[in-house]
Amino acid sequence: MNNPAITAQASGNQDPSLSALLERIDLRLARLEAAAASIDAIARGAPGVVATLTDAFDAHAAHLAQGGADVDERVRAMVQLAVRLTAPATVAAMEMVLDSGLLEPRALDSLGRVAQALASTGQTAPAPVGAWGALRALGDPDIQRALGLVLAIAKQLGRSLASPSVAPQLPPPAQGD
Amino acid sequence: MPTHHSVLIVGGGSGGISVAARLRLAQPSLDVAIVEPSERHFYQPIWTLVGAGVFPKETSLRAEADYIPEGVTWIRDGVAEFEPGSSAIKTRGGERVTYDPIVVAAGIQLDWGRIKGLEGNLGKDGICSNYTYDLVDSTWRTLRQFKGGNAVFTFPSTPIKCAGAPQKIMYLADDHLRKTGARGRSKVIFVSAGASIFGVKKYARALSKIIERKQIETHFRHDLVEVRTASREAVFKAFDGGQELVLGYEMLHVVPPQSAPDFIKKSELADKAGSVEVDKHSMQHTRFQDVFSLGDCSSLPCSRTGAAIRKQAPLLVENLLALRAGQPLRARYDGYSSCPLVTGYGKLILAEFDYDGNPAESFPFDQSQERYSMYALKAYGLPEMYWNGMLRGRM
Repeated sequence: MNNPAITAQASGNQDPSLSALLERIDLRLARLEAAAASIDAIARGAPGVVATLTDAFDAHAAHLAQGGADVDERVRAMVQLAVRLTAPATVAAMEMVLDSGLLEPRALDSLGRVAQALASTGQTAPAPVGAWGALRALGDPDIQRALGLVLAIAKQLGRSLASPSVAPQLPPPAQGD
Repeated sequence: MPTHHSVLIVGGGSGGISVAARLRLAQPSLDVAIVEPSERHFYQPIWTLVGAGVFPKETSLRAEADYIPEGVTWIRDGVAEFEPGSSAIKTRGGERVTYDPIVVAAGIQLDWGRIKGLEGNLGKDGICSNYTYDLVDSTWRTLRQFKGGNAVFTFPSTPIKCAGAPQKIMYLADDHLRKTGARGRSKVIFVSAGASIFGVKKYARALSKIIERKQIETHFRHDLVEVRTASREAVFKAFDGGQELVLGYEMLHVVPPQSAPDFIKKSELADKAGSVEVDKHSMQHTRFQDVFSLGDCSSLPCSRTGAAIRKQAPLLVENLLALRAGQPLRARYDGYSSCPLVTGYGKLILAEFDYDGNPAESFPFDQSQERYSMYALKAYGLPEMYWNGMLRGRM
C-alpha cells in the first residue's frame, strides 16, 4: 500500500470486500502517480530536446548553405519530386516497371554490363569500321560473345512481339503532377 | 430605422476576422456583424518572399467570404463616420448601424501622396514596393532586371505595418544580386528615418553584424521626401538639421508613410496622431467605454504585425465579453509582437518582444541566430497557422 490514509482504512476495516477495493484503488493511484512523474520528466526535458534538435538541424542547413547549396530550393525540389513520384500515372508506370522483369537479377546483370560497355566506349571515340572491318571483327571472341547475346535477346523479343501487348492503360497525369 | 448588432466590428482583416471568430466560438448565438468593403483577403506577411521571387503573389490572396465566420453578418460597405456618443456608425452607402460594443480593426492607410513625385511612377523605371498586392511583383521584376548601380531601400518616419519588412527585402535583394553576379557592380543602401537598425538590442546586434557582412551602406535619421524620376534621384530630408541627402538609384524600394484611415482620423475616436485612442493594456477606448480597438489602426504602442494581433484578439474578446457581462476588464496585453526577420534566402532571425523591448521568445533556443528552421516556419508554417488557426479563432 502506498497511500497512508487508504492503508489505514484498509487495515482497520473488517469487511474483506471493502478492504480489497481500497487496495485496488491504492494500486491504481500508485500507477497514476508513476505515469504523472514520467510525463513531468518528459515535459521538463522537452525544451532541451527541441533546442538540441533545432540547433543541430540549423547547423547542418547552414553548413550546406556555406557549401553553395540553396537549402530551401532543395526542400522545395524534394516536395515537387514527392508530388510527381506519388502521382497515379507515375505509380502505375513504376508498377509496370516492377512487373516487367526489368528488375530480375539476370536482366539487371545484363543491363549493368551494357552500361559498363557504353561507359568504356564513351571515353574514346571508336574508329570508323567498314564492311571488311566488320567481317574481320567477327573473328574476335569478345564480339562473338556480344553477338550471341544480341541474337538471344532478338529471339526472345521476336517471340514476345508475336503476342499482343499486355501493358495496362496508364492514367493521364493530373494538374500539378 | 437603424440596424442594430450586439457587437459591430469595423474591418474584416486579421484583427476583425479573428475577433469575430473568437466571439462566435465563445458565444455561438451572439449577434456579430463585420463592416468590410473588400471581397479580397490578403496574407500580407508573405509579400516579402513574393517580392523576392520565392512565391507568386496569388498565394497571398483568398476570398473574404470564405473567412467570414459562420453566423456573422457581413456588411459589404465602408465606414463614413463614427457617432460614438450615440453608439452608431454611418456607412458610405448611408446606412446607420448601432451597436452595444464596437471593435475598430480597420488597418492602416498607405500615404503614397506624401512623397513628392512618386504617384504615377510606382512600379516602373526601377521604383517598386512590397507594400501592396498590385505592386509586389514590381519588386521581383526590378530585381531581375537590375544589372548594377544603387539599390536603395527606404524606411519612413511614420509608424508602419511590419517594421522589419523594409530591411527584409533588402537582405533578399543582396542575396539575389550575389547569385546573379550583379552585387560587385552595385551598392545596397538602407536609408531609414529610425535611429538604428532595430529597436530591440538583442536583435539589433545580430542585424548589425549582417549589415557589416553584406557590406550594406546605412543612413539613419533620413526620411524620403521626393523622387526625381527624370534624373533617377531619391531625396531624403535629414533630421537634426543635417544636410539633405540625394541618392541616385537604379532600384528604389519605397516603404510609404502610413497612418490610420482618414475616417478614423477625423472622428472623435482618434488621438492626436489619428489612431483609435485605447488603453494600451485593456484595448478599451480611453473615453468611450463601448469602443475597443486592436491592430494597425489602434494607438497601441507596439510593433504593427499579424503576430501582435494574434495576441491582442483573445485578450480583447475576453475584455469585451467582460464588459457585456458587467464585470471588470481583467485581460492585459503586454505589447507582444513578433518580427520574422528574413536575412536571406533560407535564413531568418525570429524576433519576439514586448512593450519594453524585452525579448519574449517562444522557442528554447537562441532566436537571434539566422536559422533555416525559422525561415521554413515563416514560409510554410505561419501562412497555414494564419488561414486555419488565427482567422478561425483557434490560435
